[in-house]
Amino acid sequence: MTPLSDPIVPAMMTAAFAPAIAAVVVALLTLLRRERPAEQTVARVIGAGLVLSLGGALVAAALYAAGHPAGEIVLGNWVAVGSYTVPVVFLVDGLSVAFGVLAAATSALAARFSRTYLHREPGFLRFFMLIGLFATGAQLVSFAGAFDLFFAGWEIVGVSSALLIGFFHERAEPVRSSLRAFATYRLCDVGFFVAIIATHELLGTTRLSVLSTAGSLPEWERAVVGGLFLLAALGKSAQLPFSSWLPRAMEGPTPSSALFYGAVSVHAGLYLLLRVWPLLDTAPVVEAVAVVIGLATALYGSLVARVKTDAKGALAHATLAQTGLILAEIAVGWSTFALVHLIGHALLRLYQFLRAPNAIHDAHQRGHGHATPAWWQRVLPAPVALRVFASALQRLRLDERLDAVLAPVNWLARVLRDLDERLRAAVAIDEGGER
Amino acid sequence: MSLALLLSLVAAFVILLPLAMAGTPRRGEVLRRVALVLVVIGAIGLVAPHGARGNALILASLASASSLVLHVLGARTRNGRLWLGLAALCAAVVAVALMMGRPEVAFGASLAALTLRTGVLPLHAGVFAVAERHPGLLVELFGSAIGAVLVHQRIVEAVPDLAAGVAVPLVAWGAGATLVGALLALAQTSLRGLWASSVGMHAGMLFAAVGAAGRGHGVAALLVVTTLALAMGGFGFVVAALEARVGRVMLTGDGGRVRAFPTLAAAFAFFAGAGVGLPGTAGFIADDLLLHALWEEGAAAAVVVVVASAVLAVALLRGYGAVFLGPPGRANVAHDLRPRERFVVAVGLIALVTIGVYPMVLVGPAAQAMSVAPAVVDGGTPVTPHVDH
Repeated sequence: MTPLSDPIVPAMMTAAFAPAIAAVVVALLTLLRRERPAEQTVARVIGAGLVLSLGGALVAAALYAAGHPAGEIVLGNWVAVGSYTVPVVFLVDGLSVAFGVLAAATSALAARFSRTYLHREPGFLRFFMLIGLFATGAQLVSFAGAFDLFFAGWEIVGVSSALLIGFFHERAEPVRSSLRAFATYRLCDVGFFVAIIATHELLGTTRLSVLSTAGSLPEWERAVVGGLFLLAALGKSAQLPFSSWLPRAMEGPTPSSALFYGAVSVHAGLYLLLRVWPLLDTAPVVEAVAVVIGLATALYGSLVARVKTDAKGALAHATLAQTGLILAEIAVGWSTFALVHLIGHALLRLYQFLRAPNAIHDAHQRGHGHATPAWWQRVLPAPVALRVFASALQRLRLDERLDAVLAPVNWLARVLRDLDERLRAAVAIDEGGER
Repeated sequence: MSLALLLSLVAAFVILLPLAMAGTPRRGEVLRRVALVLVVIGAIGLVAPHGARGNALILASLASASSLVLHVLGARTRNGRLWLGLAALCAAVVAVALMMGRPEVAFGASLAALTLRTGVLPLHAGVFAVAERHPGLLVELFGSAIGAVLVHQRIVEAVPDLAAGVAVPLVAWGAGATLVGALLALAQTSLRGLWASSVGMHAGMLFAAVGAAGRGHGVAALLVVTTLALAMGGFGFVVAALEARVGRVMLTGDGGRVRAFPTLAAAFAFFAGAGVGLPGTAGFIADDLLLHALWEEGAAAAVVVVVASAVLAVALLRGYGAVFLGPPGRANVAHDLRPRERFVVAVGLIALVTIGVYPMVLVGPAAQAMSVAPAVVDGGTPVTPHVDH
């Protein structure tokens, strides 16, 4: 176990848990007092948690830069039953401190922006509590040295993301969009969960460091486990064919769009792939699939972004284009380049999303500029360009196609329900059955 | 904190739930709750570090049977009475078989009792009927299921070969029931149906865990049944509390109740989330241990349970949206959760979060208790302790 006297331990613990503790404090203030806490109190408490988290992440980064050895920070076992253990392990290396500082800084910035932006919004308290939970989830993802801890953070990010998409819950569309995003996350997370169990069973532990020994596994096992990690990353980073939830996620408040879908959450899947690179590197089939999907997503995002008429929708698709490129970069092994691209892109999008309402205002005030034809409109023959334009306008009907794929599941569920009702009616002894 | 104390807290929560729902209990309800306390206390004796003698096991089985008999009397549906009566009969057979030194018969009867008591698909008609007519009773039943699982675990230790031999088919059955339960939840049109289907899904998980317990995964079974009692019990409590205020809730309406019942909505989200493995709750740890156990019996079963959990999560979020979100409905004069109801929710929340954040509080003592004290059935043979997961 790493001694607690190592200064990086409290730094990482603060980075990870200060926002969640702040959220718990706000929850207790809400439960224990008859009146809801004032906006200022909520913003100050959560803001303090986020600043502490940023401080912790910066200290960890500074210690690492000053020569703290890269490696695992072992804090014990979360669960230990016989030979089965779930370790609590943090990881210190260039990748973790870079993503940790990025997540902490963007969370603190978005929260500060929201303090003014969401003033007198009925869901002010809910928004800040969710941002607090999200920040803890993002830090767990950043610094986790074992997949169980990583997955816990990953799920917290997913749940807070879905709840913030449905922030304006009195309108039907945000609720539907929230459900679609959550369903995509959850179904793709099947891959992550199974990959974690498989890693434990095949390699003996869920520590990320064990992936360096993945080369000893048979080729098909490496491909399957790598494919499962890729599936999880595709869902979280909205890569094809799971891209359609991202534009729908713009139903949430602008600061959460900026933080989740511009800066951190949408890049979490890519960060996962950077983390499992030692495994991916031994699974060429998975790498090839990732390159194809990444480039296809980049093309799709680029095409649709050029025909979107709303600012956040265009930004969402531009984000898809860049995340697709980053995925392809990771898959061809340009890890450092991909990390730099990821951080640069996250900061740019955070700025653009936060500025989107002002940009719309400016456009109304100053008038819209002349639209110039996109490159493909100039290059392609007119009939083809028209078809591409129409397809891009309909976003390749991704929603409809996914719904068609999932339709048999809904059909099966209804058939089972009807069968179940008949079965229970058949064995019922009450007059007229149970229902 | 000892395992006995923790399980007592869980039992107290399950007993408090219907109390908070119904207010002052009637005479029959008091008897049922006394029986519930007895079965839990009886079962706790089995996991005390130096307990677990044959007589204690027989007494626990009898307490389990008597609690079921009292639940049969309280059931407001003939179907519920029939199926719970069968479960009571099976529990009584367990006690008789143990007295006669026939642990293999006790093993089969105990499995049957657990199946009927928790409503493992397709033998779920009784539990679903009770869920439709009397949700509070079902919440009590979940509490006593903890005791029933502990009794079963002790019987498993007396027939290790038999338990190991049937582990794979039981796991397969449980995993299948899990998926069917989750799919049923996806297609429900009423809130009670959604709850009952969620219970069916969790019963499948429990059955798979009980099957895997035959090969030394008793702690996983204990965590799964604790989650079932706390999370699904809490969820059932929320359903009953909401329907007591607004009448029968359908999932096809406009919803829009979150403004009128914000605490109820938060409690719904929390208990439903805990049931599908929200990090920081007991459900997350239970899923983790269960899937690890299932993988060892067959990777397909683990994958099926993960998929079922994902499907149930989608069904529950859809249900949450349909009940609480959307345009505000008619102005409602009913109050949000009352103080005593909030207290019950807080107890459940604290128990679920405590186990979720620091699982060793339950896992550590449970693993120790299950590995150091071999169950000696009167007339049977002591078995060698083995490592539990």
